[in-house]
Amino acid sequence: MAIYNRKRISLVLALTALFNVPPARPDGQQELLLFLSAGPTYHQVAPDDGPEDYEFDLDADILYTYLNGRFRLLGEYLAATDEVELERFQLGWQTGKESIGWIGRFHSPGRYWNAIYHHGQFLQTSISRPFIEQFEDDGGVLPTHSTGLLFETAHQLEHTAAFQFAFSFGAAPIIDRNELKPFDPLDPGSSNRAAADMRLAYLPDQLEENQIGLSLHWSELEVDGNHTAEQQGLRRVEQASIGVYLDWRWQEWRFLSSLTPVINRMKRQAHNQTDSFLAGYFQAEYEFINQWTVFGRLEQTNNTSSSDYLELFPHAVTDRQMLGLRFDLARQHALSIEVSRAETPSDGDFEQYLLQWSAVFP
Amino acid sequence: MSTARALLICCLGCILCAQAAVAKRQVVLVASATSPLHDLDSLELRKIYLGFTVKRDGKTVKGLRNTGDKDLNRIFLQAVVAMSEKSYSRRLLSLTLRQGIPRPSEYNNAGQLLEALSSDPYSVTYMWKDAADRSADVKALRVLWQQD
Repeated sequence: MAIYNRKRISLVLALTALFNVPPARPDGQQELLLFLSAGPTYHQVAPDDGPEDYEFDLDADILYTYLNGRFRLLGEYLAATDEVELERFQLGWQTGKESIGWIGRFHSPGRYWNAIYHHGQFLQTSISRPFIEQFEDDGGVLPTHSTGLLFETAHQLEHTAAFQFAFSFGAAPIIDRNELKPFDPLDPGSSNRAAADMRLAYLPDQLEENQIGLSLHWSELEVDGNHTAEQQGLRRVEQASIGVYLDWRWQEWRFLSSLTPVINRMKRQAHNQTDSFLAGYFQAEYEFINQWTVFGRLEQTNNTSSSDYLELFPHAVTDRQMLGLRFDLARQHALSIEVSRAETPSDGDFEQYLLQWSAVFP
Repeated sequence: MSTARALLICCLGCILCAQAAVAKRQVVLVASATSPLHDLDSLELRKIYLGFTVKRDGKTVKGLRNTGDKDLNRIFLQAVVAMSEKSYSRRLLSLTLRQGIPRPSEYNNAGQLLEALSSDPYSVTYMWKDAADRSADVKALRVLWQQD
């Protein structure tokens, strides 16, 4: 395992060394960004196949964009100690002043946190993500990646207020051995079914970032190799969720919150069954002296013990109380520390300590 | 007229001239001298520098950043985008990350900035008014900031 991790770290460092900003072309604009983050995580409890008691994560997220007239290209590649993955590859065509259609692999627009941060860890104040916003390979129970079509638009209201709307339709993940596995265009499988996502946001001032919104999600998740699911006789899960969220800044404060009921129709060989759970989080951030930000998050998920669907993800952190501090030590570098009490359906409560350096270049 | 009186008048004249020169310290929005651009209001300008699409004659107007002068940059942040350097930098990074819109090009060198400006008639930037007056390659579109 240690050798495997060292190889991953070497690959990340090699990719970092290769990083170079290409020259701009006169007929278009392009940009190459490298988001780097690294740091240790310590878990008080170390279940056999759950999180290790001590981990060191190094993530390099490479983002390339190219814009020429109405055409846009966006690619995001993540090389980390535990994965190497093409996260996004989208080709876009701007159909109107504030409308664009995309084709390719993208982050599901229904997940607000993902839609604003993606893998740009430096932009995210906290080190950890809320349970409902976790990526599939980090214990996420809702699809965060899709491959297909995505449409984004905005409708301006009076002065600078606006509605923003995003809709996507594409391939859903499958329920793999121990996690959701999204469709991979570089390694396409045949068992992926459909997923649809929608997000509607109201912004009182389009030039600011304050917003409240509604998100809808529907997907069909095919079981493919999950031992617990096979024991339950589960063939497929039809999942639907309706969530509301808020992202609000007021003076030095910022509040991020979401409430998402999730309904899972478990399609078994013998009989179908429906279960549901409700996941919510509230994160508050307070910036002081321009460089320091103190933050905290409360997360709670109900019906975790009675949900057959959550049984498929026994090590997902469903509840958390977290406090953290971030120090922006240079223009594009930050150091963060987080202390939390977390809970998973199978491991119970445990304490978690995270330290992270994050940066973006250039 | 006595010599002392003449000297006093000269001194007063010099002070008034200096004050007039200080009062003229302005930051202006400029485009290439051959640019068809002539009107961009504050809201449109803010949109341009925040990555929104603003069009003239069917062409997207691009904002170029003049980062060679710290005072000028501070005035740009205050008068155009109304954000701190940190907030603006994050806002642009976020826009690139979310929508694939590249950040406005930054120029430390005045020569390169003027070259970029003249290569695209639908691009704008900002500079001190006296620098704009000295250059035949640019035209001032409007005053963005004026010293009190």
